[in-house]
Amino acid sequence: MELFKRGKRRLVGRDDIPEELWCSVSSMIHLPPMLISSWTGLLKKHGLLDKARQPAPKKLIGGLTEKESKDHLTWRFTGSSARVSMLMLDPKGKLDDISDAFYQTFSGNRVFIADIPAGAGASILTVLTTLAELRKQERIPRNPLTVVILAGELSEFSRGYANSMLQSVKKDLADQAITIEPHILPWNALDAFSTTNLVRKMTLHSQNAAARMVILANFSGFLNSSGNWKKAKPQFEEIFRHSTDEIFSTAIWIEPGKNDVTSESGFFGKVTKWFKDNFQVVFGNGRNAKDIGFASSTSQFKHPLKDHDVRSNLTVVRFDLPEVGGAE
Amino acid sequence: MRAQTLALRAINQYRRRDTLAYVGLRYFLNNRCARRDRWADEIATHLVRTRSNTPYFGSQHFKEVDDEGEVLHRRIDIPSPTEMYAEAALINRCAAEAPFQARSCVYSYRLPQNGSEDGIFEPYFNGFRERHRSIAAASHGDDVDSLLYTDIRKFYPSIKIDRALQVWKKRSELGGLERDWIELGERIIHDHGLISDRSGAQGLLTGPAFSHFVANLVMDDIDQKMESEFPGHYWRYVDDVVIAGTKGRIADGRRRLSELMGELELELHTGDKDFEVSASTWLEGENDFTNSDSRLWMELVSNIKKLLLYKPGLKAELHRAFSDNGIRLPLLDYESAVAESSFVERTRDWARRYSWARRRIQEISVASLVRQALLARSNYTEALDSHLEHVPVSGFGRKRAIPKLRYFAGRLIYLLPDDQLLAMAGKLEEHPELFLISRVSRAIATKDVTDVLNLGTNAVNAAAQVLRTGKAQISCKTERLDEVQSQGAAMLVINGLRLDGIEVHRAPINDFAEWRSGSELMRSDDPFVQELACLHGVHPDSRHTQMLDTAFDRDEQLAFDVITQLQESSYF
Repeated sequence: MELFKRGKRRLVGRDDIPEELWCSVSSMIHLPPMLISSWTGLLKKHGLLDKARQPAPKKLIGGLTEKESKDHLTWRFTGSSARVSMLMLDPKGKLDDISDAFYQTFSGNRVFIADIPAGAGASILTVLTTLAELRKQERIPRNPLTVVILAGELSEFSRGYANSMLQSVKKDLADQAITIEPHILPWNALDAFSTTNLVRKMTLHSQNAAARMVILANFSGFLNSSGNWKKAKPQFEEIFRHSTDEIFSTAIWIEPGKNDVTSESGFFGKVTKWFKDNFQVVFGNGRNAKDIGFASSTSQFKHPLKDHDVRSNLTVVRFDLPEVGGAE
Repeated sequence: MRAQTLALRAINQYRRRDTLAYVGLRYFLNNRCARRDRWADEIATHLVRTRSNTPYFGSQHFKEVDDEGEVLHRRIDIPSPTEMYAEAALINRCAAEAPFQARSCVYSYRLPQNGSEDGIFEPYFNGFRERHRSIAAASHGDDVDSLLYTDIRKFYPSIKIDRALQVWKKRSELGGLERDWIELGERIIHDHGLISDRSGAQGLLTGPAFSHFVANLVMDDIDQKMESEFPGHYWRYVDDVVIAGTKGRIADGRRRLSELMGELELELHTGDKDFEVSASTWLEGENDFTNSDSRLWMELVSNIKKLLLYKPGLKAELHRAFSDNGIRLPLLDYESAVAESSFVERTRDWARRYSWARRRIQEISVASLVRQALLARSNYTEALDSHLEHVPVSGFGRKRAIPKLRYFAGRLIYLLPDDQLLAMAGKLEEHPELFLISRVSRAIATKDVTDVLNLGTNAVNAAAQVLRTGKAQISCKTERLDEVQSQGAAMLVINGLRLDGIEVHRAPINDFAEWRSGSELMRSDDPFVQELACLHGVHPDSRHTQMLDTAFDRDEQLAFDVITQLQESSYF
């Protein structure tokens, strides 16, 4: 169902962004205060605060071990968060109207979000804390909102971090009329049974939802290597097929704006072709699938622990998922 | 940030209606992105369409006093702020399509003109006055000897949900509405059914704007038949119908109308609302709506607004000067609404919107407004006394006299000092039709709200809006307030007035009014209160009075709500 009228003034425009989230003078993203407090609290608990102030090692893409999970939490969490923040706020107006999907989906009532792979929860935590800050600063109304979260992640350590942070922001979110119901489960994108379990949980937890969203983030590093994309494709087909519904459903795929993602033969080229090939039939002739393309933006963000700002690049694709049996 | 059309329409519609509805809307629209039409069109409508609860507040309004002196109430349902905003969007969408336009014989709840910010519908008085003119024109004709007034019994509650759904679906498809809009209308009607069912009724709710709109659609077939069978001689205003013609012809008209109503399971009243009057008698009141009484009031209100907008620093002085002279006109603070608009925008608007020049503004001062208010006081007192001396005991003459008495008394509530207001209450008390206005006047003059609490929330809201302009403590001689009275107590508290040491039948709305355990209310089981509490947010103290004291936008009307609260018809 196309709920958004593209090309209109955005639901939350650049002028509406409070200074707590975007400094228009320095053109810099500020991560949501609730998120910073939750993340630094977790780092402190694990003795990682000083490490997080040090420069990050190159080519860090996360992993299953405790060390890999901790390294990712320490050095990659803020970058992942900044990308989601840039996407929701789009201060430079480069991302078409993708940000509108967030405000429509999370405007109120009971909604569902799947965050895969969740890592330490950077995507979902940024979505929630950004919404909460916009509500706190009276940019968007505090309609009662219940967010049912399904976070799928292979690393048990990252799952634990995500859970800790979600619990720590619960009270602040509740103050902004956002109630969360988190469900965190192991998920392996290369495994059909694991994916079927994920899909089953998605179906179960999205019952009676007013809208739903699937966020896929920071997956290109893994899927671009060792032929993983080819192995993972059937699982994605299953996830997307089961995400179509009578209700408003969006999938957003967020990646760093690197060459191997954005080039013609890059990762997003493969993903959009795959989507068009597999979902054209349910869109019917001439509908959205042909328009699927990716958008990019770049911004500096203020690192909460470092005295210099950091550059963040983002590339994103938004898929409006058609209705079940949607050929009209 | 300036509000766009739909926000202003919703605000202006409900400011005149109900304190609670207004305050709720203000909390919703206090968020800058929500003030845009797009938020109403896409977000508010989406939220209503996909909600899993039915957030309405069943407010008890004064209906009448029965033969035993018992006060009877009418339930008025207030939709949640999100729904009020979605209604504004839905009705605006419909207004763009021909099949939703009202017939020329229907004068109530007409759809707003493009860009109008006065309300979700055209101001009620425009239609009322136009109907009067049309009846006058017909009454001069040779084929009109008499006029029949009749009235539909329990209008909104008698419109069955299934019928409303059927009519809505058919008409919206004919109008080519997009599926989301059709579903929204269906959802609202369906939810009316759920609420209605809980209170043992089965029809549309009385109160929501969408009820008026759907009711007009449901009546359209009847209107069309009556209009074609009695061309130029049939008029409808909500549930009031007038038919003109010869004696025989109007009898036919009533019979035919009753038959058509029967097909929709609606009934005509048979009591004193159903009467005939000769055309010559009716024409004695032909000019009832063209006299200059209202001009004085409109000028006063308009000048007050101009002073508040362009000389906001004088607000406190004006308030003092009014109080010193026993005048209780509530003054809105437009300062922040004006400060938010840029100088360029203000200047451009000035030239575009107002034909009066800067010189005219300069002439308005605190002293000139006091003079104007005192002139209105003296003119209206004289007019009220003169009309009171000649109120006919019964018949059409009395029906004509009552609205005039209400008009003057309603304005004098704001203009008379306590002793004179109390005297006015005594004079009005003799007339049962003026019972409500008399009791409200007495409560304001004595600062004792015991009696108005029992009457219902419309009476309390009317009194509270005036009482809050003074500093005196209000009193109540009851030890414990029942359910209806407690609703009234909540309205007093929202208006910043307190009743100390009185036990109140507690309902979630009382906790909201007092902002007791605010953060817990955000999880209230009562979905209406939950939504309001969430929109309010976890501030330590309530912000209700702040919302009532400040203007939402420069284009918010300066409404003197008492007058509407005390209208004869309780069908909003």
